[in-house]
Amino acid sequence: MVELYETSAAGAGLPLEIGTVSVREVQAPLYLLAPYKGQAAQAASAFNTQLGLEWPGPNELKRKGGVHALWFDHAHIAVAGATPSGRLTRHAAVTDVRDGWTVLDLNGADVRAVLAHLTPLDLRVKYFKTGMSQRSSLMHMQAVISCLGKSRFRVMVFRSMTQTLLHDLTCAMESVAARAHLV
Amino acid sequence: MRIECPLCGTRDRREFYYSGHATALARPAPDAGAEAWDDYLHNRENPAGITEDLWHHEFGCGAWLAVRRDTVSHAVISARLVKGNQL
Repeated sequence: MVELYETSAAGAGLPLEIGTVSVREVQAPLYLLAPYKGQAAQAASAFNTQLGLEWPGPNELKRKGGVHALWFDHAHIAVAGATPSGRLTRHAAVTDVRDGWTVLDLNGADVRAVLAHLTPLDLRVKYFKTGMSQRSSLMHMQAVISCLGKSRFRVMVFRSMTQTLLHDLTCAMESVAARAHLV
Repeated sequence: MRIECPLCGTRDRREFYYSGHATALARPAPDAGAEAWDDYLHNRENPAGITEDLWHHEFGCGAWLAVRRDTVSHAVISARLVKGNQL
């Protein structure tokens, strides 16, 4: 087979640092899992055996080492950083979506203020806790927003929308940074 | 306006797409007759009070919800998943 080279979705647009917030791209294997009809329990058990993680429920993010398992939608979970194999693939449909999504890590003291410009989610620490992963809109994009720490988030959007995401993030980061100088 | 998605929790109206009355879930039998099919396809109540609509959580979990709301007070009363629970 022809050997293909993986290219970065964001390319030269990253890393980005404005005010207190920095953005960098994450490149890792990414799979969607959907249990076959009536096999949710077997899929969860095989998932636990292979990855040592519990099947994430709504709005949940489970982590172990570099592997993330997150609730993705009403029918799917996503696994990042590992490749599902063996028994798991017999109980759940596994789809490689690594080239379909752009994954960015956002870090910094004002990260919640930046995201508040872009999504209707409640971003207060009390409501968007570490270990949560929520689906919502990020401006006009259908996004996955996961909280990895008090001031650390991971954002996923369709790869085709990467430049729009970078544009919207830059606007929000510049806006938040500009306000810091007004006080 | 906020809708309480049974999966995602309370979410802003912007995350949802509206798709008409929940009548769409009560599909008549193929031989139910012209009148039943006419009602199903074209005729809708316009109540002053409680009604139930279909909403798609397009920016959230992607599930279809049946949402009960009050057209007089604009209160959103409840929401349930349509999947596996047809009317």
